Amino acid sequence: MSHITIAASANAFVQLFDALRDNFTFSKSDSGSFGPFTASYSVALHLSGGTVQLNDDGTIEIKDVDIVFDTLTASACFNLPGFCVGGWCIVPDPWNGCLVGIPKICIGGPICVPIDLSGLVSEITDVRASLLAKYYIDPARPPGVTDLNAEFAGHPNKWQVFIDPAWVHIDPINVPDTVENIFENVVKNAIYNMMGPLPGWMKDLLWAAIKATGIIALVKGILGFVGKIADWLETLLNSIFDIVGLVETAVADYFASKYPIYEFEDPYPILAAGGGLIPVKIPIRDLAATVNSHEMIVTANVGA
Amino acid sequence: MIPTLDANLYTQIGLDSGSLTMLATVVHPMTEPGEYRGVLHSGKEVDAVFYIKVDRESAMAQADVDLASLTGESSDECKCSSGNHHGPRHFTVNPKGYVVFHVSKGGGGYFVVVEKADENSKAKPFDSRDLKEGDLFAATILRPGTYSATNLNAKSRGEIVVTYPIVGKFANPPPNPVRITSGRDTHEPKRVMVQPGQGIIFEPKAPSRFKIELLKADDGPGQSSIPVRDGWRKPPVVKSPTQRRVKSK
Repeated sequence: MSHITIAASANAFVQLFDALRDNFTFSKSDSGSFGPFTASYSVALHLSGGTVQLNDDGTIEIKDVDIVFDTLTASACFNLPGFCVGGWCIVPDPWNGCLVGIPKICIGGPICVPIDLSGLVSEITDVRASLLAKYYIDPARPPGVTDLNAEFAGHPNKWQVFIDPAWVHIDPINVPDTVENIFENVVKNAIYNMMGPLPGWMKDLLWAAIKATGIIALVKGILGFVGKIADWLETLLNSIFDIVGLVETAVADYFASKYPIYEFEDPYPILAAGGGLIPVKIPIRDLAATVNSHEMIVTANVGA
Repeated sequence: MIPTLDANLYTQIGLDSGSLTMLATVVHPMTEPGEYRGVLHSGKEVDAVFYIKVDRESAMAQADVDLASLTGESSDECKCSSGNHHGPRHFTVNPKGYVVFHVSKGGGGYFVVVEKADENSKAKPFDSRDLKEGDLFAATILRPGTYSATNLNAKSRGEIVVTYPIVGKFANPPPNPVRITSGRDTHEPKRVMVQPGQGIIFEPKAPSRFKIELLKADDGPGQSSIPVRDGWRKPPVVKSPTQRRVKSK
């Protein structure tokens, strides 16, 4: 039987989890080149809500935690061929082909289309985890000092209890179909910017050509897809940049090793320093942590 | 193909077969096998020398000579496109084929003179300022308006009307090119109407140099067809019934 047993009720555990969840942040940005276009993204998020359930088999189940994307912006840059001249046949061959053609010149330029999806919410649908106790030696403690002197220097050794996930499932980012209208307006603005130095008649010419093809159809042709803009953005963010995978890894790493749900000093103080005497502390060993459906239980033995 | 917004596309309004620019192209048939030496000029200066091999064994029906790349105006020294397999200044074409002189970028203003490298040859050199029957001049006009099309050497003249682009009534790509035959005192058809960017092919029936000049610009219906964002506007003040009564008194 263990020398020490500490228990925290399921409600207390939920409060500990709330603190852990609220401390989580994630941000990242990246870019890539995909043939006819380059794309980049920037993401920053926090977690909110969710439920925690403790099970008798020692597992913890966390569900329905909202992932709030405080920042979720993506940008695609590509060359927009607004209008091409030449390319037509000047001397046909006898087989309805072309013997001599005029070289083609496409009039247009590079544009960047930024899409701001900030405010979107995804969800951690399911985390299955168990508790894991780890011994922590502060890497910032001065070299060569005793544990006691390290504690006096503000770098005590610690026992830490982490939520150690077996899996983390996150819903892919769901881009609403309404993004199509936003996308079209953003492309228009990008084209206006590109046309900045052109005379009015040239702008009208380019615009007439672009509208003849259709803005969305033109962009889809360049980016190389036929479906909805929303689907393309989802593929870009979820599969190509794998933001969901990055967040899953970050959540798992954070739970398992970055933020303990519970921790205490070792040796553990049982009498504070006073009256010219140093504090009284007992060393803790063999720490273990588990849960049942009612509570979290931490057990340990006394001894160096 | 990387699209361009080269300012020469909208600042060089006129075209001249004897001074080639981005929207003006000359096509010349090379019927006699042999080695040819071409000289590229802009004004009196010699800008570059290039070589054309007319070879029965060649499968090339078309040799594209990018005059801008010969002068180094184009950064792509050797695109090794059709007919250009031995470096940026050497071209090969079949005797039943054509050489296409064009300008891919920059201000242009070039003409070329091509003659047989054999000094004893009595064949007349080809001069792009003096096109002959069989040659072609391909012009593309972007700026809407009315243009004169003058054959300076044959003294014939016609008119080209380039319509203003209207959203919803604009074909992209433009319709097939129109053809104009031009000889001494003949210019058929006398008047053509084209869409901006639609090709115009001049077929000389006599020694020719074609010059296209803007007579009257068409700036459209006076209102740009580019949609403009409405933006935010202060809503009109609607007076309350009480205010209306006070005013009516």
